Amino acid sequence: MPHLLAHVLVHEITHILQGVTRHSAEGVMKAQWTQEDLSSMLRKSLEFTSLDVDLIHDGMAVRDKAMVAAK
Amino acid sequence: MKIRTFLAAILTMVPCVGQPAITLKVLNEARLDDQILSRTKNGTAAMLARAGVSLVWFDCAAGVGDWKSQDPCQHDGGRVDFRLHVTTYKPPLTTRDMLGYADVGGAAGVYYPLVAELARDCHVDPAQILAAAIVHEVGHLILGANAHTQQGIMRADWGKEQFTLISAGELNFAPDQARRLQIELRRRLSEGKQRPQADELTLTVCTEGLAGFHAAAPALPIAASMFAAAGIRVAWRTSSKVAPRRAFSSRSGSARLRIFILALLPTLCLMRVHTSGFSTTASRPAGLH
Repeated sequence: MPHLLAHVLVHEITHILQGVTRHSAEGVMKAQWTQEDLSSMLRKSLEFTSLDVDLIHDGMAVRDKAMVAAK
Repeated sequence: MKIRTFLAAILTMVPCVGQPAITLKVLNEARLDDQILSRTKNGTAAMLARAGVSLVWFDCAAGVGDWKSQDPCQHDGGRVDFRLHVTTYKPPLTTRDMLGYADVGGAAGVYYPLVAELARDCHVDPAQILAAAIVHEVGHLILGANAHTQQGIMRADWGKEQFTLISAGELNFAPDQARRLQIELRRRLSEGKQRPQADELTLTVCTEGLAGFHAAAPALPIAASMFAAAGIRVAWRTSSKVAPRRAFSSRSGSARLRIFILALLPTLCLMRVHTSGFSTTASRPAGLH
């Protein structure tokens, strides 16, 4: 349960951080997790793709700029 | 209590010259008494020392995170810094004889009820079994999921031979694996010096209904380690008082989000993430938005 909840949290938070509506073909940002994904996340967390990582940092940078502009 | 925590850490943190050191932040969710925990700490440090690895051990409280705090338990120390849960909770989809698990993102756990059962059956000090299980999982955290060997502490299944060796204090890493441990740790330490400052993210988790704080807490370090792999340091804040309307109408900061876990059921996870201007709901474990 903690592993599944952690993955759901990370998935949904990442959508907000990225600020875009997209899913990846692999990893934690997959639209549908298979039974295999659910089993493997108990042993090793699903990973972000490199594009996901870039989008997270880009999204956070955009939010930072927006907040500075709003102040 | 705090003095004892820091003293205990200092006593085990004198690294041998030339040895790479790891930090283990231990969450005693099984509420072991101090004596067992102390013997476990010493046993873990001794086993790792025989593999050429120094240990810095911190006794940490589960749950709340605050990266502004001076408490080392609240800080992510990078890729040689691990969290270890001594737990009474066994993740689903695991076998009855599962003693521990490791998430190579940086967290691991040892299931204490089975440690106690094995200690009774094999007439071994539970602290010795727990220490060996911790070291095994640390081996996975450093060497990866496929680190099992035919002999030594990284053997996948332990039998009478292993428990005899544990009791004698002679269960070790295979020599070539001890060398790999040191090489991998030195590589991580050298990488860590070059890594840029991670982005920081403050997340407030609000729970209600069946999703009490204790139900959600074990998931938070796992999620934090997943974000750490993406170069983001997460500080968790928690609240059992849900005020979705207030939060929904408030303006979220760039790196501050509030997450509402509305209900947790054994087979159904219903979660809603709110920030100003954006919401998403996940209502099926395998169907995400």
